[in-house]
Amino acid sequence: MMLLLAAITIPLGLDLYLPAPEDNPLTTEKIALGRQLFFDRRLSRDQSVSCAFCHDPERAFSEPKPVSIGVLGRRGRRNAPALINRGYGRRFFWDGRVPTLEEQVLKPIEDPNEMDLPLQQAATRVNLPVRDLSHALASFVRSILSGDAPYDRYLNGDRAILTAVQQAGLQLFRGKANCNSCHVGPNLTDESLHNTGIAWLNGKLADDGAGNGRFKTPTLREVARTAPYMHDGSLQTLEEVVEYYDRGGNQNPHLDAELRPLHLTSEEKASLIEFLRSLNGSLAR
Amino acid sequence: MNKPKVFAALLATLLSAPVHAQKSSPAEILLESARQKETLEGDLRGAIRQYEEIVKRFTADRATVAKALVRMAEAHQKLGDAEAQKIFERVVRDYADQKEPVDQARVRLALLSPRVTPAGVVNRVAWTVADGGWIEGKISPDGRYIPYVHYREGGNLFLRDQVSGTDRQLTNTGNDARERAQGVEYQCAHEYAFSRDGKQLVYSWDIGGPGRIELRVVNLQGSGLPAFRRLFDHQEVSWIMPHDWSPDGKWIAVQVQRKDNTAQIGLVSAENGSLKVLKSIDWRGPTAMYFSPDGQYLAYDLPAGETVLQRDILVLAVDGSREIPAEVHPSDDLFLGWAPDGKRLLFASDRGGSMDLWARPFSDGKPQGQPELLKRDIGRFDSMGITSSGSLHYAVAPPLRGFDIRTAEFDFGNGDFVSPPVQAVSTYVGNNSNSHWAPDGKHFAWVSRRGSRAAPYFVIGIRSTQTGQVRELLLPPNFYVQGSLSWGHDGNSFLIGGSDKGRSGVFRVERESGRTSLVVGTQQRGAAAIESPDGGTLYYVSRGSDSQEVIVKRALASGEETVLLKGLYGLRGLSRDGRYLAVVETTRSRIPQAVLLVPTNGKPPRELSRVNEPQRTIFLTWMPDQQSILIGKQVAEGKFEKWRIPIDGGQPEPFETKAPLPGSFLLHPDGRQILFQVPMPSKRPEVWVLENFLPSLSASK
Repeated sequence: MMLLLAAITIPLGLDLYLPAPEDNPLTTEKIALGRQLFFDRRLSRDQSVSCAFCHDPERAFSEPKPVSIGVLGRRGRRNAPALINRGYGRRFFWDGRVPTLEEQVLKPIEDPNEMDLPLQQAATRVNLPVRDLSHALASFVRSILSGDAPYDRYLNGDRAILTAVQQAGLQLFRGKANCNSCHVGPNLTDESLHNTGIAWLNGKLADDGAGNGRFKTPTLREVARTAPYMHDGSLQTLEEVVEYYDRGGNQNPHLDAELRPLHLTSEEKASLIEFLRSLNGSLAR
Repeated sequence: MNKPKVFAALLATLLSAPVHAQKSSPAEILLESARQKETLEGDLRGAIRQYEEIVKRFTADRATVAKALVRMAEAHQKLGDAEAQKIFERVVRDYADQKEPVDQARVRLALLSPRVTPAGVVNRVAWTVADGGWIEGKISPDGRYIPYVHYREGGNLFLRDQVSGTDRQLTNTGNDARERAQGVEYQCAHEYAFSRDGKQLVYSWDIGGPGRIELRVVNLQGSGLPAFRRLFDHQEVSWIMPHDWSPDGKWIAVQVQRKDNTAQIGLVSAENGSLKVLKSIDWRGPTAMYFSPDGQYLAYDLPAGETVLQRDILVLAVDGSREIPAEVHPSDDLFLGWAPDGKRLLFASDRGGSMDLWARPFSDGKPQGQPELLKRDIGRFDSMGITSSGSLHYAVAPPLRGFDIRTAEFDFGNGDFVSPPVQAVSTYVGNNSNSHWAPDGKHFAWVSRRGSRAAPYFVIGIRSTQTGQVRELLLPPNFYVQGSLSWGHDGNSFLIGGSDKGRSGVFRVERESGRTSLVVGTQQRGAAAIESPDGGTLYYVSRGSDSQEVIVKRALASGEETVLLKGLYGLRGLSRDGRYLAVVETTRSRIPQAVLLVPTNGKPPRELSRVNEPQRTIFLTWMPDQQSILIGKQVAEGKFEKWRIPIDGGQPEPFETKAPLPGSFLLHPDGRQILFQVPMPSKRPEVWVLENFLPSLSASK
């Protein structure tokens, strides 16, 4: 079932209502403009990088480097998150510090470690007011949707589309492995902040995140295509991620209460990973 | 001193105060002073004089002057002065740029001059529901028919005809606890809604098994038991609740809870049962959701955030294109329905200090103007809908399972009360349950269910046994208590069976912060758990893969689990040294019979006592000496006995008392005080109707 709105198609598994601010309704024109801007290197100081530089459409709008490299080879602090289904988001960036997409899309342009260009200069270069720049980029990001995955079809009644191993993985995901205590809802994220212990290194927090080492739960849509994982890109494969959670994360004073050793068997770990691969959806096709 | 001198001296004093000097303007400092005079000293007239000075002297500081005017008007209002209304009107008229004061003034004005005189409104009991009946949905659009679920008739659905005074049975495959105990799959009706022509009824039907529910439709034309049409049955949906039927008859607005713990608002096709998900929501769904009379919009209330109880009212275009915040206000706003002409959203709100009936004009796809107060103090209830003639029907339901909690001191040596039972909790009596002593005996705690059926919330009450002081701990809004409460080993937390956003299990609730965390997830609801005296082990009941219940021993540090017992078990008690669990084994039909002593070190359990039907074991507690267990037996209808059973294998002995002990109780660590619960007399739900409250309809009559 694909449902059509005026400007975009909502794939199976996602909410028909895609929130957008009253002053920035989705239009095909703005999405198209936003797409152009997304690939426009003029939005960086030395015109060397665009948004797509770190959010590669071929990798579900993520990147393979652990942390992003911006203008002049400057190194960012965190892994570029996959820009999937962010129109349903309630907070943005790994630390959730920004409440709207319209604000979020401008931040990397100004960030010295990313594109390092004052907003007014950026707007002048593309001959748009800052507001229009923001609205167009936000509209494009809002249009990046992933659904209609085997997982969605399974939930919609096609019980044969997931293999037996994947179905076993789904049961673990919801049960013993406790994944859906945070990865919940159509977008497989609670949009909340948690300390999973990843930032705890050598007895201290290497990154405070949103405070006490908390970071926002990322979506698991297209997760098999968005390695490396975690806010610092420190885990290279899904196998490493599952191993990490199986041991209960890095113990630290602020560790989320949901994390504890899972005691998964090798077979269960493999099932879980196979299930995660079933989350590749419409974006991959 | 005359007034200006007082003012000047006060200003000088306040300006010299370092705490204010850096952050606040002189006007703000005086405003704070006036507020203190009003609220702390209770000197309303003195405060009014100061507010007047602010208005006179700081005209350029419009923000502070507007605030001062609102406070001045409120002070006049408290004095009963008509001046209040004029000042509120002045704020609205002259300070339109000051949003917050203007909003406050508008609410106050609405409260001062409701649109309808109370004399024009009729509020009456339409029907007292049949004994054992329960209201779970909507009234027919013409207000004539009231569906209800009859829990004394197997949870079947019935239809009350208010004109003829007769009841029609709509389903007959529901079953009661006795049938279920004999292996019959659980079946029962739940929420329901009428089609707009009143000819069809859609209802959710629990078809047994964990999370199995479907939507069924019956045609109400004709008589007798109607055949049903299965409309919706989805393996991934654990709960579905019909709210309203679209005016064109094509869609049914539903709230869905999925097995992945997702809650959603959607539309089910009345023709083929397909589900169109409109929006994923906070686990707590709407208390009410109705289509606009033109069918273009769906209005509902939702919590304003995950951590708050207050709700806002939203309107969603049914094509999913946009959502309109219709009533977003710090107050608690509960949607009741659309006015029949579709030009107003009706809602209950506590913004005026009580739960009042308000209307928000709505046209051209958006809210218009300001909300109007229609009636003061209507209370908190579940809306059954607005009829086509504009009457609001609502259900007032008693607590489902509430108790009066009592304490007493009992001498187990001579079998008599030292002090007679007294009421131990005097608030929300009838809404309280799950009482439990703290490990040190200095407090006891209980669970109190508050709010309405559709929007409940839970509080843990903690009472000091020494001072009588009570503290209340509000549980997170998404938390739903479904099982029993016990104290953690050190008294700093509670273990409670419940669900958080649909995830069932045993949760730990921190006593100071109220923070909850899942200790262990369980498949079934209503978990019960006990923590060992050293805090290292948890004993809880779970359901195994073969659907049998198991008592599980869980090492809390490692998460390692051991099954201690497999079967069906009821009452449980852990010895103070943590060496033994005493449990009552039940029959398949849940008749509690054998008492088992279960060593927690994994050694085989030993049967201490057994009764045969119709006898049953209804109570179990460890005696103060910890060497014996006291059990209560029902030996015949209305006849009870208590027996003391030594755990070393000695012979059970009748435990005779001079004064009758309560049927069951919890024993204080001192071995003398007891804590027990007395069921409240059952009350029947009532259907109320509020008539003639809509201004335009009143005027046209």
